[in-house]
Amino acid sequence: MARILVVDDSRTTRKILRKMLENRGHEVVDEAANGEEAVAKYKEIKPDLTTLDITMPVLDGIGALKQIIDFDSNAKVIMVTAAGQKHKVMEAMKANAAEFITKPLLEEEVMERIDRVLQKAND
Amino acid sequence: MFEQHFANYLMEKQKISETQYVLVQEQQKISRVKLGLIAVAEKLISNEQAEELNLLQKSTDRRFGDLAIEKGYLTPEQVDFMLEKQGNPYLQLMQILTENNVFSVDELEELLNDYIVDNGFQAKDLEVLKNGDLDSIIALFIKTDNSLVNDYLALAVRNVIRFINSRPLVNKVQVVKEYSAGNLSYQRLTGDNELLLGFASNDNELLEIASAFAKEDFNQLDEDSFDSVCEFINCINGLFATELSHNDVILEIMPPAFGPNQKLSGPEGVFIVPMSLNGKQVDLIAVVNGQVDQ
Ligand SMILES: [Mg+2]
Repeated sequence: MARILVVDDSRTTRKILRKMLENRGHEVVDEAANGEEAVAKYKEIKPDLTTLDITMPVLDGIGALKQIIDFDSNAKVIMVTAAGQKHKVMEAMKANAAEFITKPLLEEEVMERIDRVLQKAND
Repeated sequence: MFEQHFANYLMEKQKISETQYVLVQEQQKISRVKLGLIAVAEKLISNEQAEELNLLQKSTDRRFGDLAIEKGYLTPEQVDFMLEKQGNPYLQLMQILTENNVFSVDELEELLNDYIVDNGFQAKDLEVLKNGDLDSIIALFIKTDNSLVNDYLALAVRNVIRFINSRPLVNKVQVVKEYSAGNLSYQRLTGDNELLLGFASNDNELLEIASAFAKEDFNQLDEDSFDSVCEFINCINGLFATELSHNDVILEIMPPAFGPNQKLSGPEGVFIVPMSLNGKQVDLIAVVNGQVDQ
């Protein structure tokens, strides 16, 4: 079981992700609706894992990822986004995202990738 | 897609009544069986394999038959056999109408020719409408002078069928100078192209999309339900931008927006695909270099 911070400007997607994660026994410790909120909450909560959308107002997910990794170089951040453009994937990987999942979300895929990242963290 | 459109044409021309079409649809439901079910019933694959394929299908925008062949569960011949069993919905419509003596085969042929002319299709389109795959049929409905817009709207229609309603009544694309939306959800793509994709309705018909996408029963257009429509658009834009990025076209996806009483315009006009989802009228909209005003 992991403590997870869910970041997405869409409340629909936050709800879907929360349901998927809680179904597997994880705890969604908090939610954020933009990058700035995400960075602030990350620093406050220090979650085991963060799911991070890219297209968001105020500060996008790539900007938030960089600030989170700056603060905690071991942060486990999984991008969960519709923005699967080549340059987005490369930017996120360069900034040390642990995984990149594209929407529309599929429960099996999401959970498999999250388990993989958590597994790696425990090895 | 063609079958719904043709049936709607018959109703508009008062060749069949709404009640008759409801009865036809009831009969179609009985005769329309999922490929997975047919394959299991024919003992071609196991239940587990069918479930696995159904899951894969949801995640990959691919057809059941193609996936089954790729996995080695079915041969192309077996898939053809199943498709024949399942029946083409247009042929089913024809069969039910003629079997119930609503029309003779000759009368139907004549109505079909009227349909082609009245809807601006060409004679050669008929074969595609009757027997073509979904992509080819969509391409006949979404035909504008702008090929990027054609691809954009076609992708959106495919995703409506995939996530919102498997049997929408989709009309041919129209271009208007200006468009006024009672309620609108939209999102812009910016970069190598300036595009906008949206869904609009006069009243609260957008709820049909909101509820289906979030798998939740919304009953008013508020922040929650608008958000669901916006996130559906975001997914379509993501798929489109991702696809184009493989051809080195760079697009950024902007945060979506929504609201009542919006006006849309653009130098090429506003592209509209009117559709009916469970009887609810919704417009799919694309604009190039578009402007949104209150
Ligand atoms: Mg977003």
